[in-house]
Amino acid sequence: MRRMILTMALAFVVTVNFGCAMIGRNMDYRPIEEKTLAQVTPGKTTAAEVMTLFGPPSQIVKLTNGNAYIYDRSLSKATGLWLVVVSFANYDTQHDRIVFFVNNQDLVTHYGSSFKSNTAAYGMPF
Amino acid sequence: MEAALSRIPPPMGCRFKFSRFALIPVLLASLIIPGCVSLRFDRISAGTEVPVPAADLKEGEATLGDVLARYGAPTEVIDMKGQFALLYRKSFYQGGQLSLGVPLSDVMIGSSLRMDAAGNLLRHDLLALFFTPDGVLAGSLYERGASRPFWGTFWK
Repeated sequence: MRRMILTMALAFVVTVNFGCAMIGRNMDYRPIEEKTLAQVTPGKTTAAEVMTLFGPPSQIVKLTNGNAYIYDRSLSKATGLWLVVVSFANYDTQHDRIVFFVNNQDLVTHYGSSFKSNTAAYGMPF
Repeated sequence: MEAALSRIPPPMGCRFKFSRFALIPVLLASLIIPGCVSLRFDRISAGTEVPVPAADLKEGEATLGDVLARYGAPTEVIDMKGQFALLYRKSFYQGGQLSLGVPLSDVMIGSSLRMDAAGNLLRHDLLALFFTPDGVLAGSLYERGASRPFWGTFWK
């Protein structure tokens, strides 16, 4: 009798927990490379040269003393696990980003960069 | 001959006495539960760790160049009609859903019973740095929301 109960319990668990798993990767790509930043010199490089190097920016923010040119790309990693009754999903998005500050004379005055897309990770929500 | 026959085991029978009807609840549960009960847990994180404000970046002294060298590119640049702000942000979402249903449409006229309960919580780590038009740090705000406890924050 005990073995029958165990068999039934095992059959129940297998049936209920039968599911599937999924991983996904999504990249919003733009050709912005960290090594290209070496060609940018604040006070000398112009906005036109920045766009020659990196292409058109993702966003331009108008400021009082100039503009900010924002370049952004992202990498998302998704993990999913479906166990029929219970499902888990996890998404992680990280960005590579460069922001150039350009004055009213169209010269780059400052820039900041963060390259973090390679830290996007697969995982579970718990 | 009789001795040899006596060593042959009797025909195999079921060692257990159980009713085949005992399997019915198991089969029913296997068929019904996946369609009637479901739990879903989601987590979405976007952005990298937000830096803690550095003590040596003082208001009225630190420049835009100092901040960009320390923290890198911001998530957002905001024009404030004169001043401007750099925003560093990490978003952290947790959500869950419980669905209960009874599929009555096959056995009764009418639709099935269904009940859903869902809860979502979106938290942010945020560092906002305000600058004068000349690029001097004028102020800062820091909020660490992602580390707040889930239940305590959700029911607040």
